[in-house]
Amino acid sequence: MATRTDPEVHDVGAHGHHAGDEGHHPRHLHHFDTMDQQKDASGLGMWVFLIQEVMFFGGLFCAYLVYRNRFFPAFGAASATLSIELGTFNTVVLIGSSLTMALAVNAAQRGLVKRLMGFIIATMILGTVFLGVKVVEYSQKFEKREIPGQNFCFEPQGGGRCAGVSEAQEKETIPDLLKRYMTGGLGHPPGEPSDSALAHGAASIPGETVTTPEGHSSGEEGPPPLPGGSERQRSMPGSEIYFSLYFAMTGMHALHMIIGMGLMLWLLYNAHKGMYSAAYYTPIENFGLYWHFVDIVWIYLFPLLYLINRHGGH
Amino acid sequence: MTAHQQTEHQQPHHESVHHIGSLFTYALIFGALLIGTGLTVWAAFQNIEVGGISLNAPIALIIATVKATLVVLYFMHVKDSSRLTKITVISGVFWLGILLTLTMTDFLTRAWH
Amino acid sequence: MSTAVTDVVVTETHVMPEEHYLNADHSLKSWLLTQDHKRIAILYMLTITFFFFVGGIMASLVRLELLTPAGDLLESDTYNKAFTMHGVMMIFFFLIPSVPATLGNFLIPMMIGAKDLAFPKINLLSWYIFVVGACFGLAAMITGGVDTGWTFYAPLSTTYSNTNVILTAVGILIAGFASIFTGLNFIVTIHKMRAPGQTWFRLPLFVWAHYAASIIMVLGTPVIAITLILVALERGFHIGIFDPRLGGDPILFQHMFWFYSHPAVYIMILPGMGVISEVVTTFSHKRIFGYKAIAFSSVAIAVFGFLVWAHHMFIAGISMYAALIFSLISFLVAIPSAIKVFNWSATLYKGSVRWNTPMLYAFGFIGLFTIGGLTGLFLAALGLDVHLTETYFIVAHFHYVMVGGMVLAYLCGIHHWWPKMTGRLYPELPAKLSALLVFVGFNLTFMPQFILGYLGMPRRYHSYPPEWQVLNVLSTAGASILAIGFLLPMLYLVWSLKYGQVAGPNPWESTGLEWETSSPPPSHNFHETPVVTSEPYNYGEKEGEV
Ligand SMILES: [Cu+2]
Repeated sequence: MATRTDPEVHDVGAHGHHAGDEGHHPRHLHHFDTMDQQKDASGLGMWVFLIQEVMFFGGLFCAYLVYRNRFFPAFGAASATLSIELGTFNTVVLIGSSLTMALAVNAAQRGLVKRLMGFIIATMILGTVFLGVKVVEYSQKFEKREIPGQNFCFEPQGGGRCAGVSEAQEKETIPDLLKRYMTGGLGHPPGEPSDSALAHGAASIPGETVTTPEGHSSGEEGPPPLPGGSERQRSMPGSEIYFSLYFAMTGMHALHMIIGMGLMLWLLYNAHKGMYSAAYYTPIENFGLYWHFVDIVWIYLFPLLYLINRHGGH
Repeated sequence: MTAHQQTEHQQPHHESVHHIGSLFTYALIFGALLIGTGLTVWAAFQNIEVGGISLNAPIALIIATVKATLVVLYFMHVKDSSRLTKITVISGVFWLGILLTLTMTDFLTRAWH
Repeated sequence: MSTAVTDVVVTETHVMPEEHYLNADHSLKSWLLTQDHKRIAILYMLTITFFFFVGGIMASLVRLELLTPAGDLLESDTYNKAFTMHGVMMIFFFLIPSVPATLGNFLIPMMIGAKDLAFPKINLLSWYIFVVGACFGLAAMITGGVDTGWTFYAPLSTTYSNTNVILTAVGILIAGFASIFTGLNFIVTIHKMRAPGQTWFRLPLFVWAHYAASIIMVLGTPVIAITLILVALERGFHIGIFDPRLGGDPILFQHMFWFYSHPAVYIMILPGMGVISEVVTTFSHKRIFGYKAIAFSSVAIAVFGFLVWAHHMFIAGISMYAALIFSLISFLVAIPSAIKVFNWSATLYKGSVRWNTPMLYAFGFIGLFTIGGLTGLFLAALGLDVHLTETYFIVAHFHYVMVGGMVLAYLCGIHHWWPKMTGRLYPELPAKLSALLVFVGFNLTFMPQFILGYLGMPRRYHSYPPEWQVLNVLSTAGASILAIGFLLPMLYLVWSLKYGQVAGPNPWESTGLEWETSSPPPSHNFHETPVVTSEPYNYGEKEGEV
């Protein structure tokens, strides 16, 4: 069969034989004829899963492409609020974690379980550093109100409009902000009466009438007013879309990393139990593929999100 | 039997047949990725223009693609993988291309924009 | 066979095999934790049958409302919810998993000579994921429903609607991952698990069709997953992606939605085409005409199906240049489907055609799918689409493809492989009656809708001008006949589980590895791994391969 003449088949076939001598390898599942068939199948399964992931992120990249074209100035201005230092640092950290992961797989292939565990731990540490930096970056966005939604406020020139909104809001901690943000339809910034905010907001969009504060005025002409404060209405057109995409893309990426960290704990536990050897390390290898994929997503996210129009061209 | 004992037996055999990447290769790729990262940051601050068309975005994407290709080929071992794996990778990229290009046929050619 | 209309009649008396996958263990736990692809197929079958009837009830409400021109049975809001839930239930919780998750799950390992799918645990997991997603869908329905239509267009779904959009979207998103895992499992299984000698061109066309459909499941579904996530985020947290008030573009939502949802039509129809290829050859007792053409046309449909999605958006305000391109490619995608119809017809030529129920359904499929496909060309034509889209013409068109094509193919396959799944034959006479009822009822339901659409009756309204009442009454009458046609198999198939004639391993004298093992098959499908030495459909005539 054409597909079974993979390069892996020849060498792993030797293991199948080796394991076959004393009966079955303990990890050999009954419905596979040989260990190499099993390994081949898992590997292909992982790759098919990864191209599924490509399309999953692809939807986000598609939205990004469309809006970056439409709102290039806003994307450039909003991108400039991100810290290049932190972004570059994180890129290096993630590339480093890819290296340690590759070395972990390498150790597994050689059957060096101690070394394998060491590199998995190293990968986890680097992953944690990455996520920690992400937390710092996110909280800066929260403080500056550069988060999409009702409290959104963005000023490229930094005139202080978004920073000191009101005393009440200054006192808010990040959990408070998060809570207000999460409660959806009710959240106006404290100290800002919702009705005036809406009236103000509606006035900035010509040709619209305001009916109810909730904005569910069915039967009226025109769209319901945007919930949120006046700063949201006055923010640079397209800037909120940039931040929506920033959080959606980096958030999905971070979610994949968190899942990856969980999986690494599980691999670590199994490695500790002695499940992996040079004859059987498929889970390590497949997880490595997953982790490298997450790295690749970031390799694209970094220039696309952090480095838009940094030279200040048109 | 422990994992360690088993590996002791098989290691020499492995070394000869298996596609185990050498540590030197990994270090080399890591270095290339770091250089790529530096390059991409540096390039972002240059105003690169040819005939009035800014080339910053294409350059950033080309660097990213080179980096991604290195990861795929060496860290993910696609270089030494079966043809089927290679086709799988290519089809993923191809389908992503379908999504992006056909969507853009609409957004880039609207008469009223 | 000398007479014009004959049946395969099983005259030998067979006995049920002593041990098979159904009696291996009777406990509930053995079913809920099973990793046997055959049992998982049965689990899927029971689940989707339930959702078929939920969707069916919604359809009945819609048709009853449309019996009279006045919107008297359902309020307009309720009516919106009824057709939305009908679409959501039927498409995401019945049609998408219908043939692949049941017949595909059951048959692919057997057809290629494997003991199971490559990842039995993921297979079971996919069923659980599906059930969880379906529960979300049900919960959304019970707690008030959704009224956006199954298409969830923004900004209706993100801003205006005050129904359970998020709950439904999450349900579909979760069920989508069941579909991805099924597709992944099939792709790997077909690549890596084939029996010795089972080369690509010895695979049954059913397997080719599922391979093609799996490509779509894996590459298309994640896009709708992320799209629905964005809709839920936008609705829940008021972020801006599609919101025009923030500069977002609702048409982007439509692009991302149809990138999946057009190919999804092929997730539904390709496995059905696979069923028809098997049934037509079996009941013509003849090698299929143009094996490679059918095999490659399946893959061609999977690829070209991804290039045509914006034909759903011609009136949405997309660029006219883009519309031209999408219109042109939409015409091209008809070619591989036409190849299949031609080849099935050519297979009948000089075959010894037997008229058992599966063959009746297959004939029904070929006829109705052809009508559905050809009216699709009307809609692919840019100028005509502007007039016909959003009318009952398009409703009739996709029901000819989805019900006339896919549901008939599903019933066709269920009857064809019923003896393999259960070891017993369904009763031929009521089965033929139900096939007839389905065919007549279906045409009576949807043929008038073509005319209504041509006359300009828009879809998704609960009232209409009185001059359209006659055609609407005909349509509702047809729907009642159709309902009886769908209920009948439920009765006699259940009856046959106990009283049906014991089928024996190969009641239809069919080729194919699945017929070489006992009926029902043993837990590991084959007592010995089969070795394949010849092409499929080797019915012993002397034609060269086409
Ligand atoms: Cu379509």
